[in-house]
This record gives sequence, structure tokens and C-alpha cells, in this order.
Amino acid sequence: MLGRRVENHEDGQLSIDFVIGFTIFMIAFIFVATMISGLLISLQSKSIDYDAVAYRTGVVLTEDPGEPFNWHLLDLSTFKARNETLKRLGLGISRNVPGILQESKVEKFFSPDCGDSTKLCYPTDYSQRLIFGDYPYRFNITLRELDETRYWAIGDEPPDKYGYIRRVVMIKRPGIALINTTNATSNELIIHMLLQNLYQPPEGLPKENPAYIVDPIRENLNISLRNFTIPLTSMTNLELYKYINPPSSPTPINIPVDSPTIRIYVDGNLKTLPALVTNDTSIIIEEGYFPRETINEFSDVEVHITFDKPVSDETYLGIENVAENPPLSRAVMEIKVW
Amino acid sequence: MVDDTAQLYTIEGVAAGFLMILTAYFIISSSTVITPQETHIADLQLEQLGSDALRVMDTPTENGTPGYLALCLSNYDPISFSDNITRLINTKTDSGTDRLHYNTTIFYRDGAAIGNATFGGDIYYRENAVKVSRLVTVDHFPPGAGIPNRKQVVLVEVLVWRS
Amino acid sequence: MAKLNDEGQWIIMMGFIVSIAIFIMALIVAESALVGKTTSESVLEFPKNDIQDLRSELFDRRWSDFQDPAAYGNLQNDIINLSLNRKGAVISFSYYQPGDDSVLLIHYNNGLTEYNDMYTERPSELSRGVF
Repeated sequence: MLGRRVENHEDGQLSIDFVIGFTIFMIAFIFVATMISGLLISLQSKSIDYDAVAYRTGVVLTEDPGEPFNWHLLDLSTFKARNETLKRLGLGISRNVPGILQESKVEKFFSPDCGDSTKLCYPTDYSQRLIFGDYPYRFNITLRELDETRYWAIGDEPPDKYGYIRRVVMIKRPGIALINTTNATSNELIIHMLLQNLYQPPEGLPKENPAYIVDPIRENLNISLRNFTIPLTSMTNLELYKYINPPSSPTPINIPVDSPTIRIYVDGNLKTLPALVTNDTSIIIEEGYFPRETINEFSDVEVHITFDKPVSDETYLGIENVAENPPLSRAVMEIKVW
Repeated sequence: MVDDTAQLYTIEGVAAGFLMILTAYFIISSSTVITPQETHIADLQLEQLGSDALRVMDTPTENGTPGYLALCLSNYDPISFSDNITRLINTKTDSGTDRLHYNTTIFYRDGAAIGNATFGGDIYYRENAVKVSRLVTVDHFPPGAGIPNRKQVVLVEVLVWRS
Repeated sequence: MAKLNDEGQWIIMMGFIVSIAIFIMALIVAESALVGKTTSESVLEFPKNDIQDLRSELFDRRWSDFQDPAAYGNLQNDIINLSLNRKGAVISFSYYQPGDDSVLLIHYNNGLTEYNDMYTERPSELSRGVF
């Protein structure tokens, strides 16, 4: 029934029925209008982003040496180094040779330990210096060497759907100086390291490709001693000297106890002097040891290794003649982001 | 006293509001978000992987030796090339292998013209493939052809697709 | 016939109009997802691999093959013709040695991206830093 409305055309009053209906309508309309502007927000969902983030992470890891380019030598226990100096975690050896990774950076990257202040902390250091972005992306990065069958992994177990990229890279392994001892006159083995011979080619030739340089300053150098002819030889002393310009008598270089330093391994075990040596003896000059003792590419260093039996015939052992890099090895890296 | 007058507007208002909300709900719940990126992401992954594989094959493992790719081309050895590139693009870090296929053509300059030679691979029909390429310096390619024997740069073009 | 009851038609009509308007907006929103540059398209469009390939090739050759003018001319023609013919990219480079320096100039243009590079070195001088 129409009610009283029909008779009162000029009284200027809305019936309560109309007001309520209109109010309900307006409330629903405002609610929907506000909801529509939120429709677009759902289109910016993070699931579109994951593949792009994985690609970018792949580029930073494989084609970028990181910032600073020798971040693997930083002492992360200081606040400044960890939070200001270290900006980007990249695994490359140089920005001019993309796709070649440095093994020391790989080892540092894949072994985080939040309890150790000198190591990277998972996941905070990684999300700030590798993944970037405000959204807390989770990731899983794996690296497998094809022929050596080494395998590194970091991150959580991925769900069913994730952003993905696969990269093929090469890994540069640290240099090895293979020295065969001979049963001759001297008990001392002297290795002369005029470091600029490793970094600078002879005059008139261009700079070497960084993928093939033996780099004792930024990488480990393994001095591998073989072919001990007399059984039960033991190493009694290890000393380093440097020659400062202008020529003067050699200055001994300190060998500290904590890393980075020089370490002696026999059959894979760390030894202190004096030590019995076998045909699997290595003296590892750890990366960062030379910068620690302010030795740079222009320094002149001599390593004196003393034994208790004759090991050499006092021939001149220049590091550039005995040290070489193992061949670059190929590896596959997979990055998953979700 | 309670009658059914003044109920028409309210019902209409409710009906109109319900209509709007229902429409909005249907639209939001049923719209499939068409993300064009999803069609190109696969291309991006394949192209990067193919370029990486070619670069790794072209980089010498030791200083002074030619890269593996240059050797395969100079010696005209599509079989070693096939083994190598198939391994590089299909190996995954965890167990299992990918199902990628490839097809290679080599382009070289012959005077003022560009010649080409196939260099192995699976037959390409109509799959969704990406093309990756790399410039390689070789001693002479193709061996035995009529072009002068000189050091030259050839373009290795590889089509990569997933089966 | 009796007058049709047209009470309340306004509000129902408003409701219908608003619903249709929302529907049309949703269509526009759906269309907008197809417009615009996607990340993967931008990545595919940028010739990162081409430029890296060209640089590494030229840097490797600069001291071996480019020292012989005949080989230099041949290799230069190879690279320029192959790139133009197969990839649609204009490449020009020159390697010359004014005095003690060696200069390598690289120019690359594939229509969308242009890249210029100049690398100088003085091989007889001991210089610091990585390559």
C-alpha cells in the first residue's frame, strides 16, 4: 500500500522508508568504491616478482665481484666493516671477466655463522646485501662443481612454487707452487717472491687476464713440497723476509698465530714446527696475510724453509716460475626465491 | 499499528547495495590475473643459461690454450661440442637433469657474403625457442671449404628449447 | 491500464548503474595488466650478453692477433659483417697505438641500446690495480 505519501506532495519530508533504504545503499556504495581502489593493490602481488628477483640475484652473484671487490678479506668483527664497508656480496673475481667465481668468496659465502663475528650471518647479511628489497624474500642458493663434485648450499627448503634461475659459471681455484726437493747440498729452501712478476707481465706486454693470475695477496697460495728423498726429514724453521727499497738488509716478517697467517699442513693435518714432513706437505699462505703485514704487489719477499736434511741445491726459485693456477673448473648455480 | 507501508524503499536500498557488493565480489574472485611476464620469464631463463654455457665453453681453462669451443670448431668436432653443451645446459645442482635441446648453426664471412654451416643438434620443429650467440675466434672454419685459410671470427648461433 | 508502479525505480536503477560501472572498471583494470613494460621483456631487450661477448673477444685479441695488420683487418671485417647481418647490430672498433699507449675504442648500437667504450693502457709502464 502506498500510505500517506500520495496525499502529501508538497510537505518536503522524506519518508523514513526512503531514508533508510537510501542510507543502506550509500553505505554499500561507499564500501564498494573504496574496495575497488584496493583491487589494484592485489595485482602488485609478490609472486610476479620472484623470478625477477632470482635473476637479479644471479647477476649479482655471478657477474659482480661485490663491493668492495675483496670483501672476503674484510674483518667482519668490526662494526664499520660489516655495516658500512660491505655493500654487496658478489662472487666474481673481477668486473671485467664476468662469470668466473673466486673460490675464497664462494667458501665465505656458503658458510655463514651468526655466532662467529668474523663470518656472515644468515639471513640478515644476505637479505641486505644480496637480495635487497623491503619484502623479506626467502631464498635457496646451490652451487655444484661439475667435475670435482664439490657442492655448496645455503638457504631454506623451497616450497612448490618459486622464482628460479640457473647459471653456468667457472671457478678459479687458488694457485699452487709445486716444488720438488732434491738431495743436494743445502738444508734450506728459499723461494723468492718478487710479487710484481706475478701481477705485472714482463715489460711491453699487456695486463694479464685476472682469471689466470696467481694472486697470493687476495687468495690462498699453496706451496706444495714433494719428493723428499731422505726419509724422516723434518722441517725445523719457516721464516719470511722482505726487502725494502732502497735495498737494505732483509727485514723479518712476523708470522702471527691467528688467521690470516701462514700454516703448515702435513697429510692434511695442521702442524707446528718442528714437524716431520711427508710427500704431502703444504705451506699455505692464507689470503689476507700479505695485506696484514703490509705487503703489496710491489713487495719483494723471500721465504726461507729450513730442514734438518739436505733438500735443495740452492738454485733460485722464483715464484713466477713455480706457481700456477689449476685449470678453471665449471660449475652450475641454482637460485630459488620465494 | 505495524503495517507493511514504508518497506518498499528499504528493500530497494538493500537490494541495490547487495547487487553492487555481489558484482564486486564476483569480479574480484573470478578475474584471472593475466601476467604477461609469465610468458617471457622462461625465455629469459633459457637465454641466460644458453649464453652462460657458450661463454664457459669459450673461456680457456688454462692461460694460453684455446677455449674448448674454438677447438671444436677448428677440428670440426660436432660430437664433442654436443656432449659438452648438452651437459652444461642440462645439469642441475640437485639430482635430475633438465630436458633442454639445442640446434647449432655457424655463420662465417666468405669475402663479402655470409655463409653458414650446421653444427649438430636436434631437429627443430616449432617449439618455443630462444637464440643465443657468441663470437668465437678460430684458426679456420669450415675446414676444407674454398675460403682462404686464415684466422677468422665466426658466429655460433644456438637455438635452445625445452621439450 | 492501471498506472505501473514506478515507485522505487530510481534506487534500483542507481544500483544497476553502479554495478555496471564497477564491471567496466574491472575490465579496464584487467586490460592494464597487459600494457606496460615487464621486467623480463626489459631484460631480454638489453644486449648484455652481446656486449660482454664483444668486449671479451676484443680484449683477448688485442695483443695477439691485432698486432698483425692483415689479421686485424680480416677479424674486424668478420665481426662487423656478422653482427650486422645476423644480429642487426652496428659495431665499429679500432685498436691503435699512439706512442707508448694502446687504445681500444669500441662502439656498439643495436637500435635500442648504444654502447661506447674506450680502454687505454701503457704496457711498458708498471701500473697498479686489477685489469
